[in-house]
Amino acid sequence: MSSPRTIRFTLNGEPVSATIMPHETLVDVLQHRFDLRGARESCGQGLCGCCTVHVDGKPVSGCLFLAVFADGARVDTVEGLARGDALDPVQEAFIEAGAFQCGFCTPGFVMMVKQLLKEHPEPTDEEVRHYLTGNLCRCSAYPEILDAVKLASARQAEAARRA
Amino acid sequence: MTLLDTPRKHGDASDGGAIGARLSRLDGKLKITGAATYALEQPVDGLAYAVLVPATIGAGRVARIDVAAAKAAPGVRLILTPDDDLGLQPATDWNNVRASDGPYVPLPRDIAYNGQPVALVVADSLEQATEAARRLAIAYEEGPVTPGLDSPNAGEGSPLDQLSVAWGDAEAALAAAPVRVEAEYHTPREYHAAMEPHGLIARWEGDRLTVWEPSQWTHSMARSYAEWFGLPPENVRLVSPFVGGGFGSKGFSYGFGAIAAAAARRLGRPVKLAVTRPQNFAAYGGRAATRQSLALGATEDGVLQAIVLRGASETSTVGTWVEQVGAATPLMYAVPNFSARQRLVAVNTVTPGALRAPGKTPSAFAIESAIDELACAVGADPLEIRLRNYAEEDPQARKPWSTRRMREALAEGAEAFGWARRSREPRSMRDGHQLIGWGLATGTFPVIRNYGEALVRILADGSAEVVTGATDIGQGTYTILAQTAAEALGIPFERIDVRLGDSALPGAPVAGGSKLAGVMTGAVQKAAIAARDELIALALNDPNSPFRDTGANTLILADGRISAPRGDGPVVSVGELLGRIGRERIEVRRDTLPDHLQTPEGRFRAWTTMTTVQGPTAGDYSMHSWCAHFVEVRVDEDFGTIRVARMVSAFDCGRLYNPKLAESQWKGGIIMGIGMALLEEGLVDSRNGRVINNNLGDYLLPTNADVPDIRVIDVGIPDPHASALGGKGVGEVGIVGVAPAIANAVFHATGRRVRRLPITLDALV
Amino acid sequence: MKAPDFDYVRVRSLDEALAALAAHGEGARILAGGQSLVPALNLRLLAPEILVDIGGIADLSGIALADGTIRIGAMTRHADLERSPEIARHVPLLARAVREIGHPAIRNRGTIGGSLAHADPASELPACVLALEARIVARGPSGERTIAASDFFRGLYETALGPDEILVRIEIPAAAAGERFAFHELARRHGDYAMAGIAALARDTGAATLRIAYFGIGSRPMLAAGAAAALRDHGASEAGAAAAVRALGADLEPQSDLQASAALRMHLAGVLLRRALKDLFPDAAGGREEEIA
Repeated sequence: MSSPRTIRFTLNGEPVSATIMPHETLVDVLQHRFDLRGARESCGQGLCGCCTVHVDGKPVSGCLFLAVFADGARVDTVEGLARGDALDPVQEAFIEAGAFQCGFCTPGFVMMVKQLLKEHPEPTDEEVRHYLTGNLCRCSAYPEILDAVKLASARQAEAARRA
Repeated sequence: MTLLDTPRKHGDASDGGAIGARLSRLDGKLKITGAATYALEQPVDGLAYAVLVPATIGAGRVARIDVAAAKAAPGVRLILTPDDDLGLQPATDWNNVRASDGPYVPLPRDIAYNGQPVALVVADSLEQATEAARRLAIAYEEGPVTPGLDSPNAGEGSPLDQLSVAWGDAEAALAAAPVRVEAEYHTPREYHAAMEPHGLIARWEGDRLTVWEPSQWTHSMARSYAEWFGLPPENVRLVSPFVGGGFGSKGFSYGFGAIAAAAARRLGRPVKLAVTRPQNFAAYGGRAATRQSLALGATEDGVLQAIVLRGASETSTVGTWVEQVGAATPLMYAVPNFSARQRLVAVNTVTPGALRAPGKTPSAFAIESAIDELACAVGADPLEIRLRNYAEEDPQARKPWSTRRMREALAEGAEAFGWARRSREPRSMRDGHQLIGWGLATGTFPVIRNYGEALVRILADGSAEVVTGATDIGQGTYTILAQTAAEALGIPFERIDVRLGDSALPGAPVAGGSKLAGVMTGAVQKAAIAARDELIALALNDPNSPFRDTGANTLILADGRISAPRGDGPVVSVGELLGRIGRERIEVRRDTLPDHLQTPEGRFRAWTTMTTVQGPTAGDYSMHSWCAHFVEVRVDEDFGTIRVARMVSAFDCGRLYNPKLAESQWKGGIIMGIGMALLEEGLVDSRNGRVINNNLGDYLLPTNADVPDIRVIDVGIPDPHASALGGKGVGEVGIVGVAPAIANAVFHATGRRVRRLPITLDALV
Repeated sequence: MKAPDFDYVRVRSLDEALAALAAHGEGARILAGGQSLVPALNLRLLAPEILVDIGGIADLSGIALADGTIRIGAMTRHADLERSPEIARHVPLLARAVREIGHPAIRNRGTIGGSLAHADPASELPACVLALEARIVARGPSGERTIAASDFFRGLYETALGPDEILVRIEIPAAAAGERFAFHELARRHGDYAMAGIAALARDTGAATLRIAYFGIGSRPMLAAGAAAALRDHGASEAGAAAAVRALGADLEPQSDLQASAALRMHLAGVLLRRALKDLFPDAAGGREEEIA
């Protein structure tokens, strides 16, 4: 059958390598080899968004992304967003808006919202709702998530205006 | 001035202290950075990985399991089947009752439902265990299957006489009533579907067991493990600092936990069992399916004369769970004649369990739909008919309400929604293809009281710590306990740390039944005040204290500083004072138990069973949270698709400890109610009792795009009878009444009355 | 959940990919974006010996216009179609439909070739290529062959591709002046696979060139040829619309499943057709809601 192979990639800015089996997914490798637990498996089918990470700057479902694909890629996770004690503006907005309860799905939402604001810096409510349909939150902090996206967007616009 | 006379709390700075402030989550940063560690993410060395093997028949027995091929697979360490004697004892249930005298067999040979565990395979890796599990050759003898409540062979079930409620002569009054509405209402199986799946890590050290398992009740679940393995309670520790959603499913230990812990003991190695997403639909039960035949008799003005409810709910063939369909029915309206009875029907399912507002949710679907039907029958506005039948006291218990601001909820909700502009006739409002409907329904959830225990430490650096075994499943325990301690201690919120979620810590009730906040804020306040008093006593009396000679007979502790009341003495920070008097900390542990429970047995029972809870009518009052939901739906006339366009919901939950968190709980409940109304339904294969849609692709949870603009309004006032600080319950009441409000709105839009949830488009085209 | 063990090879050329297919036969699976294949592996619905990852073949990606034809490489991701100005301009139906595929993470990985080869009857792109009269180009041991979209989808997850063939690109006639399209889908929950959907295209302003394709109705995407013929004969009038809806009974083979019954699907197909006609022919008598309802 299969044999292990070594992949090399950039993880939150640091070059890393891991020896993996072809059937291992990126979320497993992040959890078990790199102790990064923010991206989590929940549905196993790419339907819930809990495992969302960025590969080469784009969100992917970590449970559908074979780890071998990451060879040579840049992988960014929620753990890489904060700069020391300074949270990313999206993270700050989530806390301020109260955009989560249990917190299990939250890192996936944050990673998807990063991309949402890149594509739609000032999104309408409908754009936010449509963009986030692949992220499930059973606590259903959806209204507060919408608030958080708008808050982060407003701050981003304000910062851009001042800059 | 009594508490009742105090002005309404607004939850902003105008309220004063930390309690009631709209603060962000204490655990927010840990969760937002991915640093919060959930139970199955706990790093434990030397783990072996277990896979649960579910039965693929709905009823019958395991004839034999050939394990040879699986055993020979790489990495396999242990296989448990019904052939293995796990040597377990039965555990007591929430009522402190031991199920049986015989051994506890979580891997029985007899199969009562599809998905019941028939084996556990443990290997060095999850891949190996998964692969080996496929190599088990399982031979079944299939028996006849009763797949669900409405199956032809399910029968009528058995009566639950203890749930019968009657006053007056309901049947006669119904027969004599000038107006009668009678209908049958159905709710399906629904599932918790928390984003964090179930599972556990079990590690033995000699005869001591540590379990990391998501938990709504660490103490009670630890007790189950101790009893299964015949251990003294202190030998089991259950750890659950963060929980990825529970909704009622994580308050119990389940068979899979016993099997995995038994495997860990046998192997002499820690074992991790992650219950797979599909297995989460059978490893524990969701909300039971229900059926209610409900008849209302009224005058021509719509004044209720009689309510007759005949209900049924499903349970399993191996356990009893009662989804009490009459839970809300007798509370909502004044009625002189009432009769409710319920039957319990055993089918081939895993034993159902508690899901957000158990009983109240299906109960409200029927009564709140029926009252809407009555409003139509007598030509009354749905809001007006609720006022005509307003219950001025608890109609069943005949006790005054502690607080019931339902009139305010209806009035303020209606005002914010614009209800007065509603046109009476169904199908009278439209926008192009879309039929617009406005619906209303109300909800309730009882105040359940219990006891709690907390430890409060004031530390040398001037910060403080709150410690208790209670859990935070997302509702905000960390935050409100820090707020409570901050206010009682006079130490800023930012300087309070909270430790939770460990059965080795002080006792607490289940994070369920909307009682934890009321109970634990009381316990923390008690401990914090005692700690503050101890600190002040030391400050007044210690020879090295700067206050020793000030002549003050008390001191003020505010903003982390101690000063004399007249403001004429020294001002010293808490840390500085502790340094001056040579103390590293002040530590106080307090509980709220009454005298008769101040025994080891009493304490154990209080922290691990439901036997010490006091129901809503245990005292002189009847105590409940209340809500009113106003909904606009838009129904595509041709497609039959339903969209909830906007909602306004007004709540009376007493005092809110943190409005930001409480509003989030309300909205979360409302959205779960939208799912219940339109999306959620466990579909069962009638041939073999299997839940077909056992994954998050086919069991539909609401997404962001299904959620409208939701406005929530707080009409509560502090309720001094409900809890120490005046709060009633917050977490469960939000879902109650949402589904009937939507169904009523769908009726208003389309003229079609849908009495079976979820409301799908085939009911409308 | 855990996928079974399998081997994996990332090929650099089509020849290498074909050689891998030849060597492993039925045990090999082509891996494109993995958004349908990996869930099936996670649920252990499939147990291939080896995955042949064609993501590293440079010339399988990209969108190019030449001689009035848009050529889309099989490995072109949905997100690239979504953002492509060429697609927006020359295949606007595709640009519209691709927004409805799954959610952004799926669209970042999923590919047009993978979607067509997977042939999920509820997915959007197979119906779109039917309506667009696309040609699907496959490469096998004996070279390339071109398959008309209308010959490509054979049944549930079943296509005209041989086990030794790889879908390499899709060729679509670029939109002509006056071309119109309509696209609608229905799902109980936003973002889900459709319980019924329609992709319709008229190459000019009349009904003569109309092609109507459905997804989520039967076991494969289907062209409603009878309905299109009825509209050709009667025009987009109320009479034409009514005749077209009647013709759907013979055109479609709706199926019952967890989402909807066959009868409900047939009803929805008729409503979808009327909505599509309203988009396509807003000025025609039959395009006015009141008259065709």
